[in-house]
Amino acid sequence: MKLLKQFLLYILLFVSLVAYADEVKFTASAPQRVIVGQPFQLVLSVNENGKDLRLPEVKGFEIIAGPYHSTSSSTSWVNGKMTSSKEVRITYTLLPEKEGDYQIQPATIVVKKEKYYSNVLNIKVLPEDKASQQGGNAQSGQIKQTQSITSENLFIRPIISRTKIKEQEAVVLTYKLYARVDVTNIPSPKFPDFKGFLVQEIDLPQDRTMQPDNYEGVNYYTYDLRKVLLFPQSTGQISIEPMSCDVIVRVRSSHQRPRSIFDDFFDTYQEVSKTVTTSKVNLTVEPLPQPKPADFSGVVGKLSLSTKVSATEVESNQPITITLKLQGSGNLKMLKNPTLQFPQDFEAYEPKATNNFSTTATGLSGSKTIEYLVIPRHDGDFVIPALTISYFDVASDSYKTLSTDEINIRVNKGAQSVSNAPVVSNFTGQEKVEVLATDIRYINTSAPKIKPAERIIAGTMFFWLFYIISLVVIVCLIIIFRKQARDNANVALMRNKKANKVARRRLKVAEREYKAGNKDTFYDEILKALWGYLSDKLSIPVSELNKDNIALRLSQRGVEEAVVQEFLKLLNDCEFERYAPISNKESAMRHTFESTEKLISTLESTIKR
Amino acid sequence: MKKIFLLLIVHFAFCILHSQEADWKRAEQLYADKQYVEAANAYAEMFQYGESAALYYNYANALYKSNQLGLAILNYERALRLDPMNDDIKFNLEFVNKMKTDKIESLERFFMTEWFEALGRLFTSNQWAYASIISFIAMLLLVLLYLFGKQVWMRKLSFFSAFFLLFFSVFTMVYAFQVKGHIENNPEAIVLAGTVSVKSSPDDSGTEVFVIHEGTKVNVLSTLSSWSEVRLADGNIGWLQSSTIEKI
Repeated sequence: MKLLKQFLLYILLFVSLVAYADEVKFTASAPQRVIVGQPFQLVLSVNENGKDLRLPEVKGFEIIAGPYHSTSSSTSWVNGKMTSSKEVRITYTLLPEKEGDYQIQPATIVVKKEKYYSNVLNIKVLPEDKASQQGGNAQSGQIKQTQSITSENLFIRPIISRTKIKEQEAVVLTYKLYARVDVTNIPSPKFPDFKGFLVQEIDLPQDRTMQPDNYEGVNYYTYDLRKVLLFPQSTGQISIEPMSCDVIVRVRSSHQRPRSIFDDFFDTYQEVSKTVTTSKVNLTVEPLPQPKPADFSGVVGKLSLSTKVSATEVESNQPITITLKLQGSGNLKMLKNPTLQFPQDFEAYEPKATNNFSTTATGLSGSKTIEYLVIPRHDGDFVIPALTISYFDVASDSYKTLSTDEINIRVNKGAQSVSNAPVVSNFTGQEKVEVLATDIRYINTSAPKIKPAERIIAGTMFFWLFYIISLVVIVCLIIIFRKQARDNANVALMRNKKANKVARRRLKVAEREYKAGNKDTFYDEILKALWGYLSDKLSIPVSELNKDNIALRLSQRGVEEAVVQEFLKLLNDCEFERYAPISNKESAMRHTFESTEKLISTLESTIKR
Repeated sequence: MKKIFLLLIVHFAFCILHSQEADWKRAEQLYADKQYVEAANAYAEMFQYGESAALYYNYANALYKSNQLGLAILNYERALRLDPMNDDIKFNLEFVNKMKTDKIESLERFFMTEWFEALGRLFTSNQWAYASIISFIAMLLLVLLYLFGKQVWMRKLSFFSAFFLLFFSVFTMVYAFQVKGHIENNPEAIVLAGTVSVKSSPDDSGTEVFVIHEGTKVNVLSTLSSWSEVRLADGNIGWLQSSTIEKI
């Protein structure tokens, strides 16, 4: 229990200390430029009571006074909240002993058992004014103020950092006012329009004051009017037009009347305007060496490239962020967003670029961060090809190429399955169908006959055989039928051919009757055979036949008269025998049968067609 | 001896039929239990017995349910090849086609050509071929009737019918060859890979012409080593890796 209490106490103490520590500010301030023999003040200020202040050894300076402590505090209520501030100033008076650049190391102070460091100060010590030395005026280091406004006492210098540069390389141009007179105001300086340059302002502090500076052995009060970074856009000899401005100078008025006693006490001053014009600035701009690489980004300076991928293995429809960071110095504003070649299947969004530039004497420096957001919509292995960017390296005077690595991205099939996917995943034009059909139809539940795969028969031998065989069969049938039909068509010929056959069949019947002894049917058959035979042979129906036209027709067909007579006699005999009741039936029947047979064979050989 | 042999054959056939039936029921049960991946595997195994429209159809259903869109479309197409008039197959194929990414507008063609091809798709090549043979034989028989018919009306009728059947036989034969040519000359294939970038040349460094996705139907025009030249329904032509597609 006791231990816990102690612990809590420590924590509370620590928290309060931390909270306090944030508040302490310990700063050192001094003018940036001083002149040999001219004392100046180094002020250390801290917003809390401190102790054990230690100032490190200050080389090149002599501490002639100090430290003097002064404390000021203020309390204010704003909206019912009390804020109180306190400032402790420790002032040293230093005397520069020798010209040169000096650095004053941080001072230390202990506030509430914590040690704090101040900032480092850089101080430039200017030489003594030559004129004042010559003049023997031992006014130890003060810049001599004169009353005469001449071009030596008041002028503006355009200071260019370099006069021979490459195209697109940054150059700093500073317009600096040098004065040995009391300048009160510069109302509206007119600067030339920097034609053919891309201009980038360098911010100057708002509360800058006249700084002492030495120019050609004379110390002046100087004031930076404007400081710009220029990026030449064209090549060759380029000159920047001179600038001019009115400078208002305060001079002691010189009275015509004799000096009164008051004049020594109350100087009267007068403000005079003076137009100051600068000289031209000439620049030589060299073109960049040719040929430029195809992927030249336009950057002249220094550049480095790094990429970062949020994930290299994702599921489909998950976004990937690819961050491209270009870091360097030079005309970075010229840098366009490089285009990464994303696979067609990626949904790529407009890249988001963030510039973090700061203006320096060498140009813009800083970084440009470009974020590409892509969403792979489908699974697969994808490659984002390497990106190359070239820039002109000023240090080595050559083109340098930067390259990213190839990015391999594996996209897995998303967990969202097709069948369970919501309607949203479909396209608007097809939603109507979606409403009607929310799922596929169910499987076939009756077992089918599973057969080996069928061959396509069209065009095979088998296929053509079907046609050929059926055609051949039909053609044969036609030929056979045709012959039959032709024969059938000629009925007379048919009957003619068949006459003998029919007659003989009848005779056979007659012979059977004769053997059986049926006299009536025997003669009947004989008659039928004779009449039928003649009908067939002469193509005359039986009904139209009689004994008269038989004789005529037979003789027309070239049958001998004797045969005709015999035929008629046979007919008569048969008719007679048939109706006569008594007869020598055996011999008569035999005779009739034989003579009929003989007669038919005679006629058959005589009548041809 | 002969009897025993016959008995053996019958027994063997019966065994196959029996195991087919059992496999079918097993796959069906898996599908009903929503174990679609296993069901798809079970159906895939059944292709050892041969093929059937219903088998392709069920296999495709199981594939679709197990989120294999490309394979599902491929098997629906195969089922439809065997049974072009089946309503279920047509419905599911149309449904699944809505799920695929690419919506390719087919090339506007002369409506007669469109009809001509649509009619061809109604039957398989063999069905057309058989129809052609049968109508040819019928035509020949009618020619006989015309030549040897007794009545005038019968001869007239058979003459015109024979004429019609001859025309019909030629017509169906044309279709038998057309459908066959469609399958053999520029076979259709389905994209199985998730994304395929189609190149302008059969080469990895070729310019990317367009990108197609799983389930898209293409016509294979020619093949060169591991590359295939394909044409889309909208008439675009390009080369892709043959491994990313499968012929129907």
